[in-house]
Amino acid sequence: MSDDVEVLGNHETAPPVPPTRMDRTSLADSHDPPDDELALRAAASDRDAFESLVRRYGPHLQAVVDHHVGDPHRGLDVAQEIWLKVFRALPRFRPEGSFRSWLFSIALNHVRDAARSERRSRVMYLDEFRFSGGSSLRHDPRGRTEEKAVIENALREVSEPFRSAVILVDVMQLSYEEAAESLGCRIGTVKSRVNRGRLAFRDEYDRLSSGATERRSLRDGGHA
Amino acid sequence: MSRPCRRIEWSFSSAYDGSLTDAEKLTFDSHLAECTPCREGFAKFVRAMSDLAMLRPSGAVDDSFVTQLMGRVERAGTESGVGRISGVSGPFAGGRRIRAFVSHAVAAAIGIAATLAWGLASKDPHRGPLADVPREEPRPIGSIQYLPRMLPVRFEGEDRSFERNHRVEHVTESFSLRPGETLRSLPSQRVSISLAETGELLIEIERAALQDSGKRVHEIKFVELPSLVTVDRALVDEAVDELERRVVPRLGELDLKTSMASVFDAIARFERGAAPATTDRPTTPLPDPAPDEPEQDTESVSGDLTRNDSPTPSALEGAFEPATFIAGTTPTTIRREPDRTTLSLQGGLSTTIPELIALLDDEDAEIADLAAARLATIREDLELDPRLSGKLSPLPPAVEVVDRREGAFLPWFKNPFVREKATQRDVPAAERWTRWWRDNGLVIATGHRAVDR
Repeated sequence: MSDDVEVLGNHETAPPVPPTRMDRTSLADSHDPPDDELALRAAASDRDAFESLVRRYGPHLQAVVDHHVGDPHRGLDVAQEIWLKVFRALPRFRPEGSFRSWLFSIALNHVRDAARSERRSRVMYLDEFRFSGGSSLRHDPRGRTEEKAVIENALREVSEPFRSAVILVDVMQLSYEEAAESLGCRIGTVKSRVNRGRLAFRDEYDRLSSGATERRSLRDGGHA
Repeated sequence: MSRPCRRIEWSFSSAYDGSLTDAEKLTFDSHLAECTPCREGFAKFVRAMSDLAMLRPSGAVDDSFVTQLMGRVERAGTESGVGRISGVSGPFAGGRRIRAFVSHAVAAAIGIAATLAWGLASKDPHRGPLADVPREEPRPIGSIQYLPRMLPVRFEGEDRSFERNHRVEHVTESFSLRPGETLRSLPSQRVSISLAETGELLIEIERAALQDSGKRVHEIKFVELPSLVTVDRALVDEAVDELERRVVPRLGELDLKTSMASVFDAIARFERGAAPATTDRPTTPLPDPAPDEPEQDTESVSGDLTRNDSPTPSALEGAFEPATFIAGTTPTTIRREPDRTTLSLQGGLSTTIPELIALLDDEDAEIADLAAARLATIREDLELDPRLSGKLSPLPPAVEVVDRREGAFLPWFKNPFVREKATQRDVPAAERWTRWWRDNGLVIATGHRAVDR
């Protein structure tokens, strides 16, 4: 772990106030066309409308993919595959529902299939190097910091279907209703999965963070 | 620290969401006030959730990602006839921007691209026949993931099969792909991927009849990597693109290929230097090439470094340095063995000569000398033999030199098999090469590394 790792546990002892959950059903600003309008226009072969959707939800979809696909380069390919699926499925989108729920539903189904395929293959991912005069720095196209890597690794340790529920609700900030729509289950089920997923994440995060703190202490001259 | 009470811990999530009823909240807060493990556990829970928020996506999607995606969407719409994207400008309006794109794996695309680039950049009035043909954008058909140390390659991608039969001239090439490298094909090509019983990956790419029809069978051989590293192909492509933008308008196609060869050669040199200090090499040597392997089809120059004391088999263990593959426009193999070093290149003169020129500056004097020797031979062939002038019609270097019957490489104009297959439509590149050579005043002498230009 690098020296940039934050040592956890140094916060104040007063219980922090939980943040207020934002209840947004779209990422569109007030002056932008709403999602369902763009989706309908894209279904009618409006290129600009589809591109607008890609730009609006590109980072979010990529984040969902990255949480399920280990290889960052493959993650980009997977994201494109999902958008192609979305493009082909647009004629079936119904504006009564939430576009982003529908989008994440397609994405989650696709990454689950991709994950199953990945598990079947005997593939070992090698380290990457950067072609810049011999540097051996780890190149991650997502530009992760080590700290974020710990968080991501902890999240990755959470088993399905709880991980997807946490990703949708806590990372993508979907409402429970939207998450239920994306996951194809009841709201009560989503809440239960989120609850278990959060607790599991907390345990993994605590474990990984403690290990990082110990290594940092050892490196700084502590005792084994 | 003791774990929180199970019953209260189960309420952490609802408390975090603020969805507890008033009564429940009162009970929860009262318990936390009295129970240290629960209080600390909830604080840790909230901190974890706050840190999880760091994973929320931010920033904008990359423009290149959008451009590539919209291109795929456009093609998907065109192929299916449904949902065809219409636009007012750019690639959706029809007519794609011609862009030279070099792929290591696709020999057919190389031939087409080389011919196109030649026609665009050369000052020769005899432009290539494909100069005005719009180029197709290569698209990835899958990525190769390597397992290190002589393990088979697993291909992940889209399998496509032949849709029609062509009268083809089977040419087998062999090369190695670096880990993470992506195979790319043109939309006009048909790709078939299969796994041979030997575990080698067979990729058949059949190109459409733009210049001529043909089929390439790529055999992915086992390759021992010098180190557990991969080449970030995207970065390599970026370097190539940059060179294209800088070099092509000023120097022309030949120098572009020379520069690209240098780029990839630099990669190869870096990887050689990054080899691990410990010689954790397999005890079994690399398998010898099968009799029908394309090793015999390549233009090969061997430097004979015969030694008086032949190494014993045990001494050979670990002495064999893995073959280094330069991911250039054509595979260039440098194989070092205890008693000799072999430099092998594949492809016609249009690609071979720039590769050799790039190797003239190799830090390894042995390689540079081999390249110089081969260039001198080519110079003689081109210029040259007065017995041949006027008697043989020039043949395009794009035609693959294959002569399995003789089992050895022959200069193309001496190879009756090649001459038989040539067509009159092909541009006589040999004349162009000769003219270029003379115009640039290249002087290459065997044993010298310097090139006078």
